[in-house]
Amino acid sequence: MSSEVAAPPRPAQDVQWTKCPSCDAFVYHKRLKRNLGVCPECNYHFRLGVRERLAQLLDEGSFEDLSASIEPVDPLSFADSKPYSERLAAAQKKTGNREGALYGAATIDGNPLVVVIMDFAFIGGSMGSGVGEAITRAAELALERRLPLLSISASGGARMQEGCVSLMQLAKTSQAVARLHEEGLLFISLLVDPTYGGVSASFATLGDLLMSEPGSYIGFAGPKVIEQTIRQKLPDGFQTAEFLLDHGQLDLVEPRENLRNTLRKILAFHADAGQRDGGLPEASGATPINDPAQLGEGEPWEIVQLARHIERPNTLEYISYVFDDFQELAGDRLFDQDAAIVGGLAKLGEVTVMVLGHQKGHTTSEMMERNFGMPNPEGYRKGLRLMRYAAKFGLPVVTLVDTPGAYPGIGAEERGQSIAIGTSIMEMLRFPVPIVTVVTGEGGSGGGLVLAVRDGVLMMENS
Amino acid sequence: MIEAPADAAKSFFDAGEFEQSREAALRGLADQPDDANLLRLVGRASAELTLPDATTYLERAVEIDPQSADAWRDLGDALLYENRLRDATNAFRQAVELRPDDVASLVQLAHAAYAAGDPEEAISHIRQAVGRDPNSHGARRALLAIYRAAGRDDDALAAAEELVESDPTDALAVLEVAELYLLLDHPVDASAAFARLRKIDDDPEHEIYAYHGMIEAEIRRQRWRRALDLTIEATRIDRLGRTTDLLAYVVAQVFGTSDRPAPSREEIDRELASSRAEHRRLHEESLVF
Repeated sequence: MSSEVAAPPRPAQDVQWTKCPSCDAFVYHKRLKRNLGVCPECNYHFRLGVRERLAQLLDEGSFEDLSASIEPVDPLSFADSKPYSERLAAAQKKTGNREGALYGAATIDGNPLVVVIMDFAFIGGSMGSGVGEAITRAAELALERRLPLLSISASGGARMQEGCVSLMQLAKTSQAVARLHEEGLLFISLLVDPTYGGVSASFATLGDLLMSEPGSYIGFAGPKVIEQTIRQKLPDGFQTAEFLLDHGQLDLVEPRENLRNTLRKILAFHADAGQRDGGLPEASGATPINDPAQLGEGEPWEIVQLARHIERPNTLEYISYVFDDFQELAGDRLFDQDAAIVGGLAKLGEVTVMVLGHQKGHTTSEMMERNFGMPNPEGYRKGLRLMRYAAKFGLPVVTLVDTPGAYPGIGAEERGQSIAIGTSIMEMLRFPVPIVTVVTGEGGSGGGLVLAVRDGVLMMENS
Repeated sequence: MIEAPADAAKSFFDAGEFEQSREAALRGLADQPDDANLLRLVGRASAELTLPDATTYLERAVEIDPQSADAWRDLGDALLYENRLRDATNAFRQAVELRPDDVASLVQLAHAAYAAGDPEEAISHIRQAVGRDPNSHGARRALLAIYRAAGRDDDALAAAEELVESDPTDALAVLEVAELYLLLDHPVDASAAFARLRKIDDDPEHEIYAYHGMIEAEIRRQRWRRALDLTIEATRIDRLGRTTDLLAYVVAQVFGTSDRPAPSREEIDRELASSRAEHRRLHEESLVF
């Protein structure tokens, strides 16, 4: 019955199981790997090595490693319990890499980009002169080839064994990515578990887009330092990616299984960014009225009630009706993620646009979650951040207005509601990209004006 | 000369080219639909490709050749992919019955049995595996893991010490030994093991964990001066401030007071346990990815 060729033998050492550090379940390695390093029992995201990470995100075989010539240095001939040179040699032996970061050119679903990735297994992913050089060279390569840059950070911070030299990498890498911003090139930063200290406080949080995975720990000071300094127990989930998202400091947190596709989508958005010749969908439906005489006459109060009707479609629903591939982006990068304003990248026909608007809900709980469509300063600052993003990449902006006004609260005043509104109105009028506004419900007071001052202002019937 | 489909499929499989392997084996099956080896190759490639038909091919293979231990083991592996633990356990049992010295199948059987909720059966199989191949580091590590999961700390310590004996540079095994000595209330041995761990664990980011273990052992022994010396040393290398509370606690024990409020013993015990768990996590994760 059988042919003569035996199936490939497998040594016993290949048989491996791992205990999940989160749920204590024994997980079969192959099953874990098939699940991209996410525990199938509890969804805990295991830390990945650099090769596994690149294999998950990049097109197979596309990564051209250009970091071979980067060597670590030992400017202080540093030694603690062991000489730094010995620690470097051990890290090199363990990881097979010369330094704690690799960079090179690659593609994701055919979209070319430059990638730099930090290796946490190499002295805790710490950033010394070699790592700083890899990040800088990656930014320079992106600049030279006019390509997007993706950085993948996992680091305890600056490499203390290099003293001030490592500290200066914060300045060096920040300046390297500043040049990308000046040249209008996309910089996506993926922060994975853990990203701390001099890395989170330099290039890694300076991306146009900041992404992470569930459960990743990200911060400046470590939780123990904070806890022991302030003598308070930190809340559960403090400094997790979800915490940062809630506090406006990340654009998105994606499960590992979605990361590649999200990156693909974002790169595709940017591949034709700024091209606005044609590509808009065929107009359909009623022709807009611009002659006041043609407007129907309704009872004003009746129209107000219709404009505020709880069943009226909201921004996210309009986005799903009108746009494709919406990718929501969160946060003001300062304090909070305000759910009363939503926004993100989307396709209008074949044109990449930034779309944003006030968000209400259809039920009491949805309304409460969205603060009844009344933004805090963080909402306006998020809106402004997204419009600045659009201006940088030449993306047209569409705003959808439906708000009773800015939130009248103590915290809102403490955090500068007036300044947020004023700044938004001032900048919105001056962005060098087309901005079209549609009042979809109500646009109350200055808070409504924030998203409503620009080239074309449309209003829905009964709004 | 045209390569036989089974040879081609095996070559592709060995090279990690699972799609080509599957296609080659399927071509062979077109002519020889009852070839158990080809069925296994299709099934294994399908499992690697996460295709849902993997177990179908492998079940057919064991149906045709029920005396093939390899076929049963392949079926067990594919069932594990699908997390069908009871079925996988049965398949591995068949494999082991046919080839009692198959260490890989015994280890798989043990884990499948444990995951399916039968720790005693798991321990029995894994001990059998270690008995068959005392040099199998993987089997010994599995024995240790299952003992620990089953709460049999004395047996786990013996298994961990054997692991260290077979590979003195195995930092995870030394950590297990050190931690088990602590759990079993042998702080002198624990201290020695943590000191050894500090020497063999090359990653500078890990050094602090070994220090914490040594300090924990000295606290258990109530050797406060030694604990203080170690805590001061640890503070010097601890850039993330994980030793500050510990220092306050030990200082308070030595001098009766501290320049900052000292945490309670329970809080310190929790922090030290968390430090050990973090160290373990770093090593365990690096074994997988």
